[in-house]
Amino acid sequence: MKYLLSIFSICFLFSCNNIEDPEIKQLNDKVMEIHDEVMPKMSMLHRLGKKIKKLSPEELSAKSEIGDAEVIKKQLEDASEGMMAWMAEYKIPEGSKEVQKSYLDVEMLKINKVKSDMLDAISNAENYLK
Amino acid sequence: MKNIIVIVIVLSLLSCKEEKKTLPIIGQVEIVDGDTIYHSIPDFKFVNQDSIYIDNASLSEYIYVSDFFFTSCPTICPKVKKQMLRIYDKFENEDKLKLVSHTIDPVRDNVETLKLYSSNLDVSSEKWFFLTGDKNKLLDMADDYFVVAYEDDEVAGGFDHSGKILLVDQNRHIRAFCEGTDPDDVTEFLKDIQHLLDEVKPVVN
Repeated sequence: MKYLLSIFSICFLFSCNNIEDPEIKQLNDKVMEIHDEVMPKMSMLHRLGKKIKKLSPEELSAKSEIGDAEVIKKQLEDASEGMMAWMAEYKIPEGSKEVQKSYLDVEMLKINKVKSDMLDAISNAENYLK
Repeated sequence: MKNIIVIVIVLSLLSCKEEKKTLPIIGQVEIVDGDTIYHSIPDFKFVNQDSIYIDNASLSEYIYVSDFFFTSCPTICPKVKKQMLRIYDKFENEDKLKLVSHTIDPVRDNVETLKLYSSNLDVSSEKWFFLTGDKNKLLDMADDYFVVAYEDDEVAGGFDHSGKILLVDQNRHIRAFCEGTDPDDVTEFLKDIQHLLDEVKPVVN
């Protein structure tokens, strides 16, 4: 077991050491910075969805002019899934610096989209619940 | 002279012995009809990496260490998992203790993925349960755990960025928690686990 733990640690260190090029490391850090900025808001997506689910038919009816509860709930769920899917897929490929750089440029666009989807969903839900 | 040396050694050993400690019950306390009601882990039913349903009843004879994670987590989870492995290693042969890791990404972390994950860690599925199930129920559970750990559910972070590891007793009460990304904090937590084990295990004369 201890042996395995060492392997586990080494693998983890090795995966970090894969980013040897300072420019690639900097790009990766910038992508992760956006992730770290919005990841703490994931539980907010869930809590806002729960608050909307708890609204009574009368409250939903009173808010019908502000928006559609189902649409707002779906937006919250999609934003949450967007972040989880992005994290599952994020893996800097093996290969040349150019290959890694273009991958990270695309990932920067993707994580910024994840961020704006999350912030929009939160803002819409908060406005709806006011 | 020899007697004095023996006395000194005995006294030294006694002073080194770990003080017996009773861990507090953590979380909100309510007084209902004069009775004190402590926070307790809500009812749940999730499936583990061997496709076996796990609920509070399955854990009622054990104390357990619990965390929330997902297999594709790029930042905190690998650090926390390393500390969970430390706990596993230390208490691997302790029958009264289980480890319970809940995924917060059941869309990707199905039974098959969790089986592969636990196999890669080379841990016993009898000892360490990796649980998956309905996403909303898992997130509700995580929220419930971490509201206790953070005390303020609106201001502090929730399950999403938490590396917290919690210790639950046989009565579903949270008795201790630590920051799973901080090895020093986990070292103290290992002592808390031992304290709770001492509390629940019958005294052998």
